[in-house]
Amino acid sequence: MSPNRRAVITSAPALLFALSACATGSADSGSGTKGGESASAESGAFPVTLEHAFGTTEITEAPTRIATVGWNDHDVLASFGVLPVGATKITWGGNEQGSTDWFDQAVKEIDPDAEIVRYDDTDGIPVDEIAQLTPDLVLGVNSGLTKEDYQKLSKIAPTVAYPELAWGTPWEVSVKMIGKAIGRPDQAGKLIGETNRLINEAVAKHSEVKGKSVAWLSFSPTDMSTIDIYTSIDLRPQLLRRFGMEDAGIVEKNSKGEAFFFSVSAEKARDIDADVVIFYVESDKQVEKITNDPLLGRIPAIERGSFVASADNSVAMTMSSPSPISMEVAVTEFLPSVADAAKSV
Amino acid sequence: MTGATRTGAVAVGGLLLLAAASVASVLVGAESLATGQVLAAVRDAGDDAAAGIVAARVDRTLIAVVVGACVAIAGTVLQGLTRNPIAEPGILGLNAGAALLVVIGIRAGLLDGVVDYLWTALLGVILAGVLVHAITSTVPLRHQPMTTALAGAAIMAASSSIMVGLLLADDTALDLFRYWQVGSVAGKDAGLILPVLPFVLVGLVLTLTSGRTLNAMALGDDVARSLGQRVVLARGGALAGALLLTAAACALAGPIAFVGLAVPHLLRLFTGPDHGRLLLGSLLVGPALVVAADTLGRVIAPPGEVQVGVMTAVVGAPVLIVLARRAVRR
Repeated sequence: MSPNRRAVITSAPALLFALSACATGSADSGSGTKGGESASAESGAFPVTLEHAFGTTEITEAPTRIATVGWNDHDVLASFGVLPVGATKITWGGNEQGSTDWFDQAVKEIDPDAEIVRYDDTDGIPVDEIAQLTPDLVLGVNSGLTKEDYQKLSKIAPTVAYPELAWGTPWEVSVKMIGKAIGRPDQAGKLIGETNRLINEAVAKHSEVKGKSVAWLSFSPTDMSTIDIYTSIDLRPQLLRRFGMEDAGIVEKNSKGEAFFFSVSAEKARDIDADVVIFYVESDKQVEKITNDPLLGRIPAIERGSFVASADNSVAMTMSSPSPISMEVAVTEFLPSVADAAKSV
Repeated sequence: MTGATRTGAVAVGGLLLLAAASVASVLVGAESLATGQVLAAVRDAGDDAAAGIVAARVDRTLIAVVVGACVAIAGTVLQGLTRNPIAEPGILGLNAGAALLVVIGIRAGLLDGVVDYLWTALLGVILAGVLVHAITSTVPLRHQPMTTALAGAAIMAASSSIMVGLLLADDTALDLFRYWQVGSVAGKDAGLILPVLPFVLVGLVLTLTSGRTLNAMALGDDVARSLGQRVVLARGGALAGALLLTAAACALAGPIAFVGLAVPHLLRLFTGPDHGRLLLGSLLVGPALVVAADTLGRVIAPPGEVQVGVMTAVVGAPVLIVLARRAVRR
């Protein structure tokens, strides 16, 4: 899979929507906040120092104009009831406005009049556009920021990058870091607790997934001679493990270093020893093409019918860049399909 | 050795190489199958899984054979026509021209199936060829070999930057285009060869009959003319054939690097300068090289595979370095 495609997929912002409802409802400072304006920070929260992949960033007072550069940083921010002044346009799995339904829903609840500039990061981080927004904080906690991007953005405003891996920040870490950055560490703890409760309840309802091994695959429509499989450090398998599933043997064996995916020859399809496999498709026609393929059709889970072919990119996005507000979509729209597949194991 | 024995030696040697590479290509792959299993699958008696794997190997072998013949012969003809030892479809910018037009076609949503790709690639190849020729013809003859290569490089650079611009904004197009970035014969149905076959056959007739023309032209246009060659016509025919073969290979597999460059040089060590033998050798050794590179790519990086376009570059580069050093020492 090309890096471009990969970045797009890993950074999907779908998770926000689901939780925004409950998160903003329960967060005391959530509703009533005016767009872009920071509601009360918790006392003693500033100054705060955040450590990340490119060094440390000190934030001395509560930010009021926050720009986000990841694909779910704005989701996480909205789950606190705070809206950014600018966010990345969602070009994969987004709606027609370059946003997601769950984020739009969150905006409606937090401040329907808020103006949020959507900039396109296809050609790299749009530093100029971000500078024009005169932000006082830039968040790229789960993003693909390069050191160069970071240095440029730091000249505009204090910038917080990912703690370890580009596009590889677990949602709980995102919530904690962003909570700290906006002066709400306690609320971050509450959000994480609520989200975990939501996940636990959903998983209890779909207990078929527990203990099942799983692999998340990616096929190219033009070249079916190899299969890409996400490694265990990718956010998708991370979240599947959170649902009580296990990485398939082939995933464990081939997860090395910082790689997000590895390739397997289609001749080796029978070695994909997962109870359940999940993959994206463009259309139903592609599902047929894959299941009928003399090599790919030999993937045991595909032969058995215990697979999820996800044609809904926005739902799939809830798994690749999760946040409290998109988690409700993930557990109500995605998890049941995985449970269905697990039933036929 | 007389000319006839040499020709015979090239034919026999080439056939043996091609046969050996093809057998290896069906026997060897990412999944190790016992020879008995493979033979059973070929006889239609094996278990389903092995049959699927062997069928896919046969398909990609057939495509690799066609593509290998096309690119090697195109390289030989282009080197002869331009009297430029580093001419080949890649370096002359022909592959890049094909790729650019295909990307434009994909973005416009016009391409559906290998025949569409073929016509689009052919148009791109011709446009790039005309452009290189136009640039080259503005400089004195003795500078032409260098100018040809530079013009090709310029076309490649310009095409790829336009392509990146066109592709970045469109994820689906990017995916569709993937096999154009690096050539691949994998995961394709051998049935794709059929619609391309007429182009390949016409291309083969035009190029394989051009041996005498190329031999005469090796001595210069004036000598060629005095030897009674109708230079413009003969050159045009050979060139048209090379362009057809390039477009056919591109449509089937995307750009395959180095084969068109390395095969003629490798062959000259055995065939001498005669273009008749060179063309015959290219027809057999080109496919053998592509098939062998594809087979190697299946086993070199388990559990994945390396595309043949990468492998030919990896295998071809050392060959060229050796050849270049020999040339210098001489």
